[in-house]
Amino acid sequence: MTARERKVLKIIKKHQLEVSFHIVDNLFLSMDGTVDHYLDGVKLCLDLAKTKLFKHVINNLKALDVEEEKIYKPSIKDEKLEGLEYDVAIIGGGVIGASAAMQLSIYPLKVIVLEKEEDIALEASSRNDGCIHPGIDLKKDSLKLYHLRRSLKMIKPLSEQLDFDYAEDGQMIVFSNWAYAFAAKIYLSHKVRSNNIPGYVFLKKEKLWKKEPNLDKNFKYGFFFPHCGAVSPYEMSIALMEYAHLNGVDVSLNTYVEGFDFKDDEIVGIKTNRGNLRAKLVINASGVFAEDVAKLAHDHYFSIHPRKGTDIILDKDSYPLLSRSGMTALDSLKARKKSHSKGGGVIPTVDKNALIGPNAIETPYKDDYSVDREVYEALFKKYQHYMPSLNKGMTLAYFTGVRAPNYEEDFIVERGHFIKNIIHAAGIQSPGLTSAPSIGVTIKDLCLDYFNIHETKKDYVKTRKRIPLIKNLNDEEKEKLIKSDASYGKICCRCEEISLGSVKEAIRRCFDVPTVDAIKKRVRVGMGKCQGGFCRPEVMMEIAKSLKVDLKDVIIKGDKGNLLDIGGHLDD
Amino acid sequence: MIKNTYDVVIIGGGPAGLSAASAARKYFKDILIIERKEALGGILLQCIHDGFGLTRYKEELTGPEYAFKEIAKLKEDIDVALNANVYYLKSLENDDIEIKFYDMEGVHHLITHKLILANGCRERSNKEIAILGTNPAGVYSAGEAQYLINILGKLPGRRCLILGSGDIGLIMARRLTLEGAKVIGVYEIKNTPSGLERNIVQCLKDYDIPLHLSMSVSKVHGRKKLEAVSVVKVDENMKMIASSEEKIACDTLIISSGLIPMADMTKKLNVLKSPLTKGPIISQNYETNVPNVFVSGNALHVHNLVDDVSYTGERAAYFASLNLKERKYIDVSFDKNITYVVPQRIDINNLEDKIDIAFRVKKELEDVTLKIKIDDVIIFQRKFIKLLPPEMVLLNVKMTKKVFDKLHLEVEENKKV
Repeated sequence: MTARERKVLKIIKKHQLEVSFHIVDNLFLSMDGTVDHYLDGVKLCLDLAKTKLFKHVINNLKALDVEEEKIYKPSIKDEKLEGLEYDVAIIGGGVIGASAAMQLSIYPLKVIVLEKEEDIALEASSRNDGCIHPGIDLKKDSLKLYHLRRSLKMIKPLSEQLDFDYAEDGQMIVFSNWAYAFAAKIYLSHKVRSNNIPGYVFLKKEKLWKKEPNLDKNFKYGFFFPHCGAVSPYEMSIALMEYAHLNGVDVSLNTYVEGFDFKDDEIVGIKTNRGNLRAKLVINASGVFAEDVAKLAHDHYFSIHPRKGTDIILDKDSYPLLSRSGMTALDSLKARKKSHSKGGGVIPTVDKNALIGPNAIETPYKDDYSVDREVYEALFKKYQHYMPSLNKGMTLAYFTGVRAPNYEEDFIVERGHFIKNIIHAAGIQSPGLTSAPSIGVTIKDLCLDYFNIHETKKDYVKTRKRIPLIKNLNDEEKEKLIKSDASYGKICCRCEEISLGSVKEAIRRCFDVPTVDAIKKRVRVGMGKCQGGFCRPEVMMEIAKSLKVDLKDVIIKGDKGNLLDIGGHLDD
Repeated sequence: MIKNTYDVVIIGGGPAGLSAASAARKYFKDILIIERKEALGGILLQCIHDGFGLTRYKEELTGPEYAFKEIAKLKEDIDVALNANVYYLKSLENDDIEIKFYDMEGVHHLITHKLILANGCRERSNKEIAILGTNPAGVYSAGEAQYLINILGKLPGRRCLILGSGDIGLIMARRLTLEGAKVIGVYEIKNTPSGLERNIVQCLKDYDIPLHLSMSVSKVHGRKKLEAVSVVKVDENMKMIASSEEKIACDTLIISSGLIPMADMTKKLNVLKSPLTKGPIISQNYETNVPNVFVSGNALHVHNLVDDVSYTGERAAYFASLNLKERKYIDVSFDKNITYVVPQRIDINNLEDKIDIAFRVKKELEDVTLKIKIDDVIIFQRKFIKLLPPEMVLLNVKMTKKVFDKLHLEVEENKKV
């Protein structure tokens, strides 16, 4: 028995679990057997990963307390993709898939994105707080830090090129206790240097309260990181994907990967509910399902342990009452060090709402987006502690996302281990959104290397423009826009002041069948106080008109198989 | 053609705006109504049930009939801008109001001497009352469901559960049943119904639809499409009793949990808001803290009867026609039995002989007397056999004194003989 194996046994013993293991290819540790509780298995694997004796820990443990989960799959079945041939197939239309598609779209490659949901960026890529992180919490030699640092330089020019909002409001970490603040100062200064990231401004008492007038006055010390802020995660994902699409990338929605065809150690075909297509190179950007795709691809050498988090969005009236920058309050450094993300906070969104959250709970369920009452209550309680004006009456909406960490808690962006023509972008969690632009670049470089391509296409679109919103224009621009298309003068969503012209343009820009929710994500109809009570029927009518279908065939969420949203004609 | 200057501009072409406009013809020459939708009438157009107009027209009308009667009172001399959205309001130094709006023709810029806000209310959303769980399709507000059925001719679902016993929820329970959907029940978190008694009888009892008091929805199930909701009993503090949770399969959840005055216009003018009504604070002259800006109807506070809404529109138009002197306010106070009183304050420099006072009580009260006092002297009293929280009381009270420091409302139980 090697020293490495002895160490593994020792850790298993410490956890008092009766499980076995085997080592794969001398690099990966597979944990086998049965545990009573899912969480025990997760804790064991996390401890094993910390030893760094293996490249990855694979959790093959069967947990007895886990119920079988019904994963959402589109019900549609057709032959849309049958026999089509692509150079690159990207599995997953989240921000990583979109970023990779955007980067690849200017090269002479035939690229398709396969997304199982009815729109892109519907899972982790829209269900997060939108933070562009300062990178203060990252480990020095991590891939996370590498991509974050590169992304921080890319994000502003990218937001200009693709015309999406980036609010560089900065982020603040505040302390009530002088001793902790003093310790933090030493720690943060050290991290800024060793991580080679932009520094902070230290603010004390009056200076801090001037910048954050609504902060509880018990918090006297603040560290302000100016070179970060927030994006709208779905706006950014949509912008990236629209750009890719403008440059010829196909986007196939409601498309579920069921398996692969192989020839030796290469993938030659992808089986989906919409037919079997061929691809020379596959990119696994499937988020919390990255391990499942890796298994299907016979390239299973890492594991994902889903971590659920809930955010609450507050109404626009609350915006001036809360924090000006993304803010986290810490009563101790210990709590901070234990977690794998920055720890959430009170965050101003680019749309001038405020957001609180997220929390983090380990879960075996990848597809569970429900918001729990205890979590909802606890989030308010937690943040009221330093933002006393916060109250439940400010609630506008809430959502839950599921993070996709691996046990090493670091990104995987690399060619497959057993299979030659797959690239995994896996274990992408916080700061995954911030890092997405850089991860896209790495995926692109790996692809170009694979195909031995060096030159971009001769002609390609350089920029992408956002959908015009009448509320963002001055009087002359408003007049001009309405003169160009009268429907921009007719309001659809009164809470967010979105006119019908913007809705029509959003319908045109959907990659496939437009859904009510897809329009909401693109132009914020129904994202105001009334949450769509006034405008949803109007959006439905507009979709029906553009598709030339009856209103009962308009989809709010999901695909045709879920069509029961409108029961039918009254005269049926 | 939209003029550059108006005597009075009315924002909102629903019942409050319509009655304000037709009343304004008596006092003003240049009148403009700005309406966001493609037609005048407001939400009345989707309220095809009857029961409107009992006090104003002494007959039972449907919503559209009531609206058409009101619209018929307008004459050609009133300008109407349809499909129009006001995006800029500013109170000028001379107390005129600058308005910018756009419609499908372009941007319009004008000045008005008086402004009447009649832009109605909105429904409280499912998120505001913390309907947790998943976020599937199939959850509608009662008003939205009403629009789908009555205007667009579509049923939102086949197996429906209604949360909240507000009037629209009750009316929708009946409407859905009549159109062939199964209404499993109406669930109300309070221990008394929120809607008018006549609606409980005519919409639920007559159709054997169960009303479950002290119950609420704890969770929504379904990833894309609503599959079920969990309902739960609540204790006297409205805290959910987890052990009582029960999962009910359904495809539609309809939320009817109250209405809130729209704040989009008042916000542009920094109008002071009442935390109790969620609408603006006004004087007895229906005037906000911003001079020459008046409010009527559900934009002010939520009314039960459209007849009362029309009345406030007329009153706002009347007060807008007066040349008010410098305002001087005293606050209206009230006792613990009362939820709110509108007006919230009295402008004693501009006091007419009679003023309107509207109020609601906090809980069901039997055999009580309302007393209105000026400087501790009773100027008005009325006995009520029963007062219910859902039923707003609107009074026109004669002022016996013109100068005073205090106006107070109280509801006292009558002594048993």
